[in-house]
Amino acid sequence: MNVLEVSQLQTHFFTRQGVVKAVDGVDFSLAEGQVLGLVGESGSGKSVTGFSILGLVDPPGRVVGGQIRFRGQDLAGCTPAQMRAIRGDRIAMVFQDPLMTLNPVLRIDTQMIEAIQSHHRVSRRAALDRACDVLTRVGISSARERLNAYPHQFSGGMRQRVAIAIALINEPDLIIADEPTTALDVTIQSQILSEVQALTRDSGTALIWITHDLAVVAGMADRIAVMYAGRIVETGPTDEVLARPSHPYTVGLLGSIPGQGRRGATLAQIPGMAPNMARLPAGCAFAPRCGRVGQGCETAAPEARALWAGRTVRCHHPVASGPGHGSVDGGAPMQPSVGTPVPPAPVAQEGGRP
Amino acid sequence: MIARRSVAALAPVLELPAWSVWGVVALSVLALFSAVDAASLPARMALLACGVWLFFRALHGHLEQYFDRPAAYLSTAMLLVFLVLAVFAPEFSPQNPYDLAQLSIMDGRLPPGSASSDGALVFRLGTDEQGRDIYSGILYGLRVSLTVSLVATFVAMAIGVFVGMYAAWAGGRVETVLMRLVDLQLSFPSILVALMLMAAFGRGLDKVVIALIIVQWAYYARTVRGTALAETSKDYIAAARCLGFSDARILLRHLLPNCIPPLLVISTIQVANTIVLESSLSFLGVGVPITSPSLGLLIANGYGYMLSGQYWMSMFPGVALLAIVVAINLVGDRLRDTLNPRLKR
Repeated sequence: MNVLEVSQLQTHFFTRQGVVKAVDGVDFSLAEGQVLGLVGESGSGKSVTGFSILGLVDPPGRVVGGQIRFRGQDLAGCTPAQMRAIRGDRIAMVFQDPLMTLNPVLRIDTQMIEAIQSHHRVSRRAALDRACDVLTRVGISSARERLNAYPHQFSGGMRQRVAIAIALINEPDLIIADEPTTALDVTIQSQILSEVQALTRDSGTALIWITHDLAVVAGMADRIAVMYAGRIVETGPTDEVLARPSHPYTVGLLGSIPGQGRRGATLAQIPGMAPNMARLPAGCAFAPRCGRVGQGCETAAPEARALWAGRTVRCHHPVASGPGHGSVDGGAPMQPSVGTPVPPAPVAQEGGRP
Repeated sequence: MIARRSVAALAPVLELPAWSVWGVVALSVLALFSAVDAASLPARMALLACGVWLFFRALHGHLEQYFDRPAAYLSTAMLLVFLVLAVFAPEFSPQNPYDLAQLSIMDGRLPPGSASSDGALVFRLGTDEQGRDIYSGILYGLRVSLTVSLVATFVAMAIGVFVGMYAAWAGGRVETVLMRLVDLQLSFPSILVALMLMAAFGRGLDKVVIALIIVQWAYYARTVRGTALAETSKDYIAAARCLGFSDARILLRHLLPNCIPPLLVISTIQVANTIVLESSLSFLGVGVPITSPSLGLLIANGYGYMLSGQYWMSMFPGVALLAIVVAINLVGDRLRDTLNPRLKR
């Protein structure tokens, strides 16, 4: 059974400049233990998607449509008290900046015990043992002593480990990680990535990893969803999307990553700027920046269509996916060729940035 | 160096859990209220100990930085001396200036250093026209001044914190109404409002306190709202919400402690301002009653004799007032330099 099913999620912000459709019809689902990489540039609606799932969109924002089913239960129908019981217990979140996510005036043990005791009636001692246990699991040595420390006594990487430990502490079914390694340097980043991967695999926790760094998700996500202007423009298994991207935006993203084979060459870049979310173009939101604009792009927004099972793209003129397949302009669903080995992802593994 | 090390040795005592802070605060408030009249000696000792402990607790982790300047030692010591003198006024003063049996009209207007007519005591700072020892009067007056201003500051801070945090948290129309109220309050000079209130209430210790609270709560409300707004937008509040904590819990346990440092600073300086304000009211004759004179009232009493060369009746209370206000301001400055994160080097 799927842990999370999001369908046609719409979160809009009603500002003075107009309605900002930060999330506009997002669908995805997540099975137990699965890792979904939610990729996109700043302002594409990745984080708002995360907050919408937790029911923490602040005014002027509001979830205006769609369904979020968590373990079969519709979260939109939950009372605030029920939502509070789910938050932190069944769904946890990790934030981007580890320097800000821990309360500076409370000791680590206080914060961890609070996280347990607000959801479970356990003794302080049991909670402390649990906290110690989780800290050890995220790779903090001599956890018992470190529990007595204040956040400012930790380094950035250690603080992010503590934040992840707090997210893990109640053994949630789902963790939403909002760019948790962006603020860390690459060595710490890769350590934390592999540890989180191991932890989720062991406990069967599903994970949504929100990031703008394709290199990060390449190493750990089972599936990738690429977001642009509030919509998922392409989704599929990680290897396939990276090897044979079919949305021009994904192609552009992949082309803009420096690789070892292209030393000295000019990096490809996507022309133009991210669109103003309050004034999106009538047709495809990516059309003004797209090199493959063709018929219909500027008048009608493309619908999501399946290329084959588990692989969808939102484009009128998708890029030919893979050698020998030809164009999929005809719209016929294609089966991945079984015999062809998938070429290695054209991105460096984590830590591969020069 | 030795001083620094001994200061550092205090650290374990300061790491008591948060509830103990509130316990101590509650105790000190109780003790403060009981100090208006002559409270028992142990109660006053507890009050002083609580005050000193709170001070060190607030500076926990920044002690070395605080005592970085000689001025910090000087002003803190000066403030401590004044506090000790005020709290233990009955023990230190040679005479109870309000006990009519101890006074003799023969001792009236004696210059500093003269002996009393019965030879029992020396008036080190002279006497006033009733034959009261100025030194004893200053100690008792300090006590009234400090009690009034501390209680007023504390209650005003509590009200201001509540209003400011609620405004920041609620937002929207509630915030607008509350903050415009604060603007309205702050647009009048505080001495004017206090004068009007005292004219309406009449004299009395409690009335002075009430007037000072009404005049001051708005400062705190405005400051707390600003801090709370900045803190609310930080990730740890979002993280706390993601952990499923209730609003009350987030407000009291996560937001409030992070709003305290700027409050500590303005409340210290505000205590000095309150002392001056109360003294001004008393000087103008609308403050504390004659039966429990504060420094301002002492100054007013001797004012009439200034030009006839009998300077001591006004000057010594004035010097005491000046000294304590300077001491509090210096301590407040040091606190601001130490606790304000924006000034961190």
